[in-house]
Amino acid sequence: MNHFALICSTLLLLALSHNLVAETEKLLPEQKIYTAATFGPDGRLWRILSAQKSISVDYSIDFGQSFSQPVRVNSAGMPIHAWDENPPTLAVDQTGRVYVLYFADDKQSSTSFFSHSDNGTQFSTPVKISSEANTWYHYQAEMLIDTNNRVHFTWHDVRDRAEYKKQGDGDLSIYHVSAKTGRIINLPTDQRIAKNICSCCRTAMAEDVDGSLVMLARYVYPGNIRDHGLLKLSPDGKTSEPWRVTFDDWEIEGCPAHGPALSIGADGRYHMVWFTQGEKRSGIFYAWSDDQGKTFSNPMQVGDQDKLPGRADVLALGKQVALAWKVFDGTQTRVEAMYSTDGGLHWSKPQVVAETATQSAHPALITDGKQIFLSWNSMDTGFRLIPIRQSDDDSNQ
Amino acid sequence: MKSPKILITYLLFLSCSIAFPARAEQVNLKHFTSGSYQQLLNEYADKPFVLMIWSINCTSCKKKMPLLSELRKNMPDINLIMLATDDASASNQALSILTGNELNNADNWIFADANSQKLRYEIDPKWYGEVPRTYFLDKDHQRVGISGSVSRETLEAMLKTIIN
Repeated sequence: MNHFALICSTLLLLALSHNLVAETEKLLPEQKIYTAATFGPDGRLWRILSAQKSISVDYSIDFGQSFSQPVRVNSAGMPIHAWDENPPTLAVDQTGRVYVLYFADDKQSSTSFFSHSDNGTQFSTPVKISSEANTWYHYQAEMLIDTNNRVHFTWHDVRDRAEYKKQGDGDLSIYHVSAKTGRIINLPTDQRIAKNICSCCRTAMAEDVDGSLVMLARYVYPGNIRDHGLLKLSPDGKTSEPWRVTFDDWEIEGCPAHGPALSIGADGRYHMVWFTQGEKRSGIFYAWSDDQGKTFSNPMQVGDQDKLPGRADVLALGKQVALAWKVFDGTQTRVEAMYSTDGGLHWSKPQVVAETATQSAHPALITDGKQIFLSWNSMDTGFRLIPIRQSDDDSNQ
Repeated sequence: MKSPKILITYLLFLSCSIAFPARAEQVNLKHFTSGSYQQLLNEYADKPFVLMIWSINCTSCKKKMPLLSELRKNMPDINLIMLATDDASASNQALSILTGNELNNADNWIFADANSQKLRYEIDPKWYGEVPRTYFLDKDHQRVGISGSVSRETLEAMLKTIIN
């Protein structure tokens, strides 16, 4: 083969391999569906915009009717890779700093990246939050800014695979890292805080009134029982032993792919909502606790079992509590919601608050400190911000 | 650099190693979209089959693959359909897992519609999406669906049931 032929075939093959990479990126599902929204201290609604190769942030001063010019977070394009149990996260602290956590394909598929901004006009170079991000796959990362101005990250990490293999496999660990917020944020080495976690269900996180970080996760209990446990990380960095809080006895050697939600009110009441197909109960359930999660109220069934209810979120704002979840009838996906004005003791009837015939993200509840909103994104309608409140003709039952 | 030829040969080798496996893998997974389940029922009319639904992130699913592969060799009449619920961008990963378990010659599919809820509903309106999910259909397409890992005993018994 002469040199010319060699060069030609090399170039051809290079072009081909380049196309194949591009082809794989093109096959990534539409990323714009995966968004997150939160209110800042000045009442502005901030929002993440995902695209196939970039993450941007914009804001609204009219409750989502119109949005500002987006500001791009990652200057170097890379394949953004979220899915419904792995969406990006957005937080704004009391000084108005904006924090973004998102997922992109890197050395591992769907690695989590963190970036922040003093005021939302320019973002720091994104960094990987896991100390082992280049070696071990991790996902379902969550972010929370606590009242002591620390940013916390937790995620599901497969790096302890060898350890779990001996026990029969299927579990993974939660890792955590936190740092003081500021103009420059340096993340220390991460630490394992929980093990025997069900690999595919998102863990929920909330801050207690005493400043502890509380996590509600689906654990793998002996006999492949996939029930939920709580775990507490105190402000001095100590991690509690986890304790079991749901007793539905869902035995499955598999992936439920359905994580719980947790909210802690200013009165210290814990509100949790979870999905199960257990021996003892099946469906979505809600319960509250007044003793920091040691004991919970009797589980209350949420949603109509015939409509595949799932993906529930809960949010407490003082004595007001809202629940929102998805239902599906084969064609239409609807978000239903119900409301309590007495801390979860009594509830309104469920109402349909939004619907779509297309793909949609999981419903999320957010607040501006005055009222509770549903933040929801669907392919046909796009982003929606819908106030969740008790309707006039609906009295507490 | 000794000679440009070495560089070119190296580049040629590099591009081959990148391009060929990816290319070979992308042709083998069928895209599962709205209507695909009905298509399967038509394609396997009057035939029993097993539909094993799995995901690349599901350890329990992957753990059962060697057993499926073994049973298939012992019972060559079994029609095995493997359906990955990951998005189509994961085709390469899915196929490399299937190949590693000698299941790449099963009837392999992957979800390829953004509205995965709709795809799941078309298969089974009572299924919430947990995996593995295995359906055993006899020749009349009467079926049993099992969530979670299925033991060897159950698998063998179910296969016998649907064949007879």
